[in-house]
Amino acid sequence: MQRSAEQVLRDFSANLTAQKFEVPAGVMGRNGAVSTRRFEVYRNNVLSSLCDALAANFPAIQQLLGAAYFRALGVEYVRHAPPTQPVLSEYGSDFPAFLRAFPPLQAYPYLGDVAALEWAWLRAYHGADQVCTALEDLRVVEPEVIPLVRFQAHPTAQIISSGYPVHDIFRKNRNIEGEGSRESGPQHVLVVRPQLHVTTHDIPQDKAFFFNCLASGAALGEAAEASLSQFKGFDLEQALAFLLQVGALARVASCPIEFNQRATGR
Amino acid sequence: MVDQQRVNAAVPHAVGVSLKADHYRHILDVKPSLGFFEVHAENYMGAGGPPHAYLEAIRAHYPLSLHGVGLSIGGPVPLNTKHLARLKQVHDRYEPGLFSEHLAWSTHQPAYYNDLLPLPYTESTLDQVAAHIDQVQQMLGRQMLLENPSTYVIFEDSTLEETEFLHRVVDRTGCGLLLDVNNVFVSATNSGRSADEYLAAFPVDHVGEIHLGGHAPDEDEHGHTLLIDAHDRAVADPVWLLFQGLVERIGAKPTLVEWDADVPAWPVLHEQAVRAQQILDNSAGQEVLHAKVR
Repeated sequence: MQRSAEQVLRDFSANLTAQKFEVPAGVMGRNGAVSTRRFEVYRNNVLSSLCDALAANFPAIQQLLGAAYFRALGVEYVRHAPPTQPVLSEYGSDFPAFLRAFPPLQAYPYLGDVAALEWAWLRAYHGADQVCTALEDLRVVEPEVIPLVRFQAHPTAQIISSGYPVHDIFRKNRNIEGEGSRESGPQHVLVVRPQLHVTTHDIPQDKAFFFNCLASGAALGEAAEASLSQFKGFDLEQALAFLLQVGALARVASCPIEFNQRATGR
Repeated sequence: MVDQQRVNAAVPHAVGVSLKADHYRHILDVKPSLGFFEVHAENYMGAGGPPHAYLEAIRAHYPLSLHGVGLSIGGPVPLNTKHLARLKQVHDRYEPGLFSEHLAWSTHQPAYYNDLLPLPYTESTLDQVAAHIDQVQQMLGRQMLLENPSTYVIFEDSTLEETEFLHRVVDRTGCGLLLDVNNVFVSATNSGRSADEYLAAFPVDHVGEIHLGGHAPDEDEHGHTLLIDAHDRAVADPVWLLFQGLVERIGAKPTLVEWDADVPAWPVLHEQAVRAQQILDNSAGQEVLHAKVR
């Protein structure tokens, strides 16, 4: 019976990643002999290369779990959520959620947050380039209208907040030199790539809150007020200087009319 | 991004190598003498960051060949138009002298399998492949090269030889061919056929580029040699011989040494490129000699 090409490739793909498989009808080895080993080359290429892609995107998770465990987990993940497009640096968006829900890993609840931090790092690495001008922009704003200024956050800037010391775990398992590793306690991590290198900053909760207010479009005055009412001792000047210095705020996005006229030199 | 002065886009009839992130710095520091670099298009589809910064800098000094691995031209499902649009973006940004893709499939909706999977060669798959190539060439506004695959299996349903299939694809679409000599050797060995006969039947007039790469030897459960197209080691001796014979027959072409897994230190890869370039140079010498004799 003549099969359509569509049927042949449907059979082929149905047996590529499933745990139980058979060599599709009409697929032969040398001299017409059916060869499981030959079909397994394709299965192995698919599963190995996708697990490798996942390991490249989540190296700290691989180091935490060990290569053998990660590979087994990767196969589970590929079966659960295969990539749906060919750019593999974009594969694994729901790997953090998969880790949080994976029953055998319930004793390691921080894994999902570490994976979320690795995903933010990867998005920053491949994210849009933008040169920060926020500091220069601010210099020409009249002091009395500064509270009305709204910023555009850097396109690669993101905060990952966790109840676990994710930044320390992340650094240790990516073999990044630095401060000693904490055993417990929450951590808020600002990820941003102002130039060529992705940077990660362990920041206090009030700064993280303040950044998220600004990033979601609040005016500087509104963000400051919200932060002060939430966090006693919030240091506005210091927080703003920090965000400008690390490149988390790319530019002044909107400001009073006086600024526009001055900034454009009329 | 600042506009950089670039070398001409045309890829010369000389040897290039796959561009790997491990070698970015060395290449920019040393500017080795090479015909071109080839990149996988899918590695440069992000918005920005280091991959683009390095590729821009390297493109300023070298012509580029753009090699797609994700279009799934050989599949029965329509091409992913979103992916095709991203491919066009990379293509237009870097102005490659050559663009190539594979006679293979990798997507069966919704999954992308990240492998170059084989297809039966029939009238109906010929129609599909030709239609997909038309679509790609129209989108990019240029001729593409189609690469012969490495295969581990044969389809009972195939009614056309691979070389006949490629002939007819070229006739139908006007595309060129990327002749991967390692793939020829791998497929011929795996199917128990002759690589020389395959090459004799190959439409060599349409070859726009040659690929060389390494393969890993294995065996199937029936005791037959099974070569895996792993791109993880140096080019094998029988592949060098096939390459030499081919170049003597068709002259020098843009030739790539591929090394994608267990990527070695630069000098090891460069040594392979030098060896390939010597073979091209010798063939040029022979052409000159022939011309003189005439």
